[in-house]
Amino acid sequence: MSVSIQPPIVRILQARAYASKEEVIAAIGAVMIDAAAVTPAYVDGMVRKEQEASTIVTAGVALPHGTADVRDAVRRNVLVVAAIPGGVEWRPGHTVSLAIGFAGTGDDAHLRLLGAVARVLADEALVHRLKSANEAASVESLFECAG
Amino acid sequence: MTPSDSPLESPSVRLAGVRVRLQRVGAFLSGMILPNIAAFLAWGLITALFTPGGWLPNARLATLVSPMLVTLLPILIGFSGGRLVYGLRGGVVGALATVGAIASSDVPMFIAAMAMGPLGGWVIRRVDERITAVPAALQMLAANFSAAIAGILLAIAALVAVGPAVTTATNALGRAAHGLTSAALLPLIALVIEPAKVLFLNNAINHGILAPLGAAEAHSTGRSIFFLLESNPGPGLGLLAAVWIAGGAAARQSAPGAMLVHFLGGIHEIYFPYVLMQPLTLLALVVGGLAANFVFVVTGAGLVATPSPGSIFAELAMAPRGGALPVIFGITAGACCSFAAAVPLVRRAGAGATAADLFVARDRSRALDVAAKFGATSTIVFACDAGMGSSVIGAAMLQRKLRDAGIEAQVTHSAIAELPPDATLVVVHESLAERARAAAPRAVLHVVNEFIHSPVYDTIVESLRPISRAS
Repeated sequence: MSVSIQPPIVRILQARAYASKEEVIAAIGAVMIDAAAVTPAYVDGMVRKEQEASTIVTAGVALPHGTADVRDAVRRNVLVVAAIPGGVEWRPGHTVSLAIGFAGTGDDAHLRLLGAVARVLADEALVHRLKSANEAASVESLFECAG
Repeated sequence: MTPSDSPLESPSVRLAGVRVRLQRVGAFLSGMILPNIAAFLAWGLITALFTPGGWLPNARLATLVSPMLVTLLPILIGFSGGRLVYGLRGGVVGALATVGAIASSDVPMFIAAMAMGPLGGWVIRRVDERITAVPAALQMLAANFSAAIAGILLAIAALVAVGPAVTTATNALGRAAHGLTSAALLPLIALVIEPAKVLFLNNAINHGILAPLGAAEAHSTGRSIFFLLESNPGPGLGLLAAVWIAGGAAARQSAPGAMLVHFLGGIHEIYFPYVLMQPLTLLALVVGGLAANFVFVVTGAGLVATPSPGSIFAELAMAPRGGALPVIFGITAGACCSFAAAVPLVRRAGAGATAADLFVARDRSRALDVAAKFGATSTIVFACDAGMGSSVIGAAMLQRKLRDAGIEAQVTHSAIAELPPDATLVVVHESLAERARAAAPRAVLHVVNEFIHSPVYDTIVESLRPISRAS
């Protein structure tokens, strides 16, 4: 329906250890704000979302995103990939070693971007590449081609 | 058809194709009616209560009846039709288009609404596909102007052409029905209605054709038999009772529950799959329908408005004051005759494994699952909290699996709060299962605990495979 003029933003964080999932979300949120993709309200929404329900989508992978009420805080479609080599406890008994922060404007491009994420996550080899994340440029192209 | 196809098989294959297509049409038409049953019920109750001859006649409150029937209900149908095709935006244009038909005549424009609504949704979808290069700042403006203009053009077309055509057709149908009535042939209409019902055309017939005829008649005489012809739960009850008495063991267990859902709940769809598996039992329904209609005619039975859903409670609520007995007589006659005719047919069909399997309707959702498959509701809704995150991932995964299996089914995603109440197949994360159950009580619910590699996706693919092959 609506037409996205701008391609989605895809950022890859340098793989590192995090003390908590809150720290992961803060790091992802900082990149989103820095890229002018969201306003700070969206990051608050991401934190609240995790309190309502965990965003783990499959074993070891989380897709932190905002609650419905902060959708207005999204300026651009954005993905921020954070590889967490040692893993971090996301909810009791569940460790996440790959977090893909996400904010979408609700348009077709948003849906295509998430479709691309699903395609990547379904492919064990690609997930492995994302987790190792020392080839940021090639990983980025995985998502961009679908934007 | 390839040359290698057996020439003996092709007609039946073609017939099955026609049947599936008719069911698709029926399911689509029902999709415009079912979300609005409450509005039909409100109209019916107000009519039964406040019109002259009602339980609490009140001229001032009775003024509610006409705007509801002539304006509100067609607009709701048109909106729902547009929405089925192209979401809320399609609904708005569908409603606009429907207004043209409404303005053209005093006849309740249900049929026109069922045509203009989806047409409006389709037109604005095509328009949106064409208009692509709009600067971001002007998108909102362009989106609203394009929808408004499309709606205006469609409304004018409906006012000038569609409305008058439907008026003519409705009048012709009315004359035909009147001719049948005065020739005492009205009961024969069961020959058409009962087979059409099991093809899921029940709502289209009842609300699309019989309701406007009935409304016209009830307006002048206070009651109409047309409201009874399709909605009568008697014949279906007789068939289900026969299955209970004479069917296989599995069917015997599930039939009482199905009878409750059908007769008290008014969900006639519950018996359709059985008839489709054992087509001869259709004879019993026709016999029941003929008998019931005969009794309705002889006793002068009629209702004041459409009973919706076709439950015994709704039938009695819509009976005019002092007019309940003829209605009860007719429904009873339908049930008894259909039962008597069905027992030997059901026994003859025996405890055939497929029929028994199909009819193991241990609970209502299971039966509706089967009904949904036959109704070819090929939309699967993935529900999540906000409708924009994990459900989109899950929907994309499930869509891939279905496509890989060669199954044509659309997977959409939705926030639970916006879940269509008539959704039939809903997939949801375990943490949200209870909310989804409350939001779509009639849906078949599949619960996943992860979104990428969930084995539930394979279960869904397998459950849809046989239906996909049938079409």
